[in-house]
Amino acid sequence: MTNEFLETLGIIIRDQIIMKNSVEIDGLGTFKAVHHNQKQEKKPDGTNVMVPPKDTVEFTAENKG
Amino acid sequence: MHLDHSKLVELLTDASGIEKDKVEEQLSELVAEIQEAIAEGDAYEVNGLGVFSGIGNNVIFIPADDLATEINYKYVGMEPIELESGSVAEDDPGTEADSDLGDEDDPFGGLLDDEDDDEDSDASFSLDVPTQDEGEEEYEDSEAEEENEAPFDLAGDETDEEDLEIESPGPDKWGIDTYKDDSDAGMFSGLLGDKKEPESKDEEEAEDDLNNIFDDSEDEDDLETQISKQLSDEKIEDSKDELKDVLADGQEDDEDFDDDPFDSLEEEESDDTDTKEEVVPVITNLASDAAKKKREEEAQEDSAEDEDESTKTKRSKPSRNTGSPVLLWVVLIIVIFAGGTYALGYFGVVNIPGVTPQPQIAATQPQQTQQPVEQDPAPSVQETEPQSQESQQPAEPQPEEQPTAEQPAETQVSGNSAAVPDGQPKYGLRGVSSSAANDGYTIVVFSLSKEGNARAKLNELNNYGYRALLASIPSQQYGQLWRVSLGQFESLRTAALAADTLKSPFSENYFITKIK
Repeated sequence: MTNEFLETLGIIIRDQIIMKNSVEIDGLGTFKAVHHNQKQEKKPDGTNVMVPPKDTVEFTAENKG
Repeated sequence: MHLDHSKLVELLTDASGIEKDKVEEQLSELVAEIQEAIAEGDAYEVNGLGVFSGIGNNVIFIPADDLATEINYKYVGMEPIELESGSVAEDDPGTEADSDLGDEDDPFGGLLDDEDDDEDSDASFSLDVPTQDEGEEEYEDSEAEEENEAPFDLAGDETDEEDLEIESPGPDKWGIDTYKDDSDAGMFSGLLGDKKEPESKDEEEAEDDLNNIFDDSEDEDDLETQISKQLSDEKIEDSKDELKDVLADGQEDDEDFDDDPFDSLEEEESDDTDTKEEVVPVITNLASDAAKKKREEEAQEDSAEDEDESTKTKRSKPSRNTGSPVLLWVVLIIVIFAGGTYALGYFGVVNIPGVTPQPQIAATQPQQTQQPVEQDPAPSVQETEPQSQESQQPAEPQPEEQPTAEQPAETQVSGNSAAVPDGQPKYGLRGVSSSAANDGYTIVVFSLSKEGNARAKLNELNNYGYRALLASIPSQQYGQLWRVSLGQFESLRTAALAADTLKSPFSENYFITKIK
């Protein structure tokens, strides 16, 4: 297992997630991109704020026990 | 699209140039290592990807910061938009706002209740001490408190009615004040009692003296009678009156001395009364001491006052001495403040004419204005962000980025150089974008890294009849980004309503932002 391999793996997973693809690794799980729409949020100081959208990576383990 | 194991291996082989077998081998090795680490309760970090760790039997993955930010490149520079209080109610017809508002009501109710509770407790607390005797009912919980509220209502109707709704400080203050007053009164009553004691002792002393005198006189009378009897017994009746007088004078003193040896002493020296009777000496002693102290204090005060007066009349130096620390502090604060502002001005944080070095401004200004021109060679209408919008958006940290000459100002490129047709509403989703409507909101549908692609999209959308805008977003991380957005809207609400009407490719992933 070389560093080069790990780097490439990281880049590929990142690219695929950016392209909204899910990536499955056998024996480990699946990486998936989840989009969170922008939304209104009420801050503790009472101001209403429109929170910008964002994408997150979600990982689902293959075998949950 | 889903990338299964075989496709992943394919991609890895293509990207890394490693043979397929080795790729599969390394991948399974990686998986085995991760599983082993998790089985041992450790976390396993893959550089550039994230951390795998196990909670119970579940494997969780925490993406690395790089990964988390890189997949959000589309939304770079987007900051939370603070909504105007006026538009909050009408913003976003969605359920979130409603639930938020509902939540908003409840907390306030809770707060109000809390305040009431606090007030009550404060009131009862403030009442506890003055109205109640210590030690008896002090901590009898609610009953005592309720009982206490009644006297408070009676006593402090004004504060109750006036301040109940407003705030606790009022009643608190009053409660504390009254409490302090009462306690002070109590303390003073104690002090006064103490002070009275000496006075009363003085009086008693005086009375005692008087009594002594009276006693003496009584003694005298007794002596007179006794002597007169003795004399009568001795049958010196002729010179009775004379002798009586003489003996009265002579024996009076003697017998006085014998009977009440210290009375005379006391009359002579009021201090030397330790050997007197138990009650009187103590009182007189204390009284005399207190009286002495009083006199001393008064004398000191008098002398001090005299000194003060004399110094005041002579010179006003002492008052200066007392006031000088305050003046010193004030002067010190002013000096520090002035120095701070000068430093801020000098380093260019605040622009103070005459203080801020001019060459720096001259150096930065052209860069700021030139860069957008260089980057946008296309003949398009450019508008640098007006300063007033920055002030409208306090949540945006854009002003921080702007002064640095490295980053060009965010520019709004209007989608279309065509003239705005007459009769077109100022805001809207369709039509031709107008620079007059750039103070509103827009729906961003594309974020692209190449200007050419962005312009192609812009033209495409324009051809569809959309009021399309192109904005360039500077980003240190990703370089220049080009955002293609639809429509110009007066408020977030109208933008959100319009966004709901968008069709498939745009309705899936869009966001509303303020037009820069």
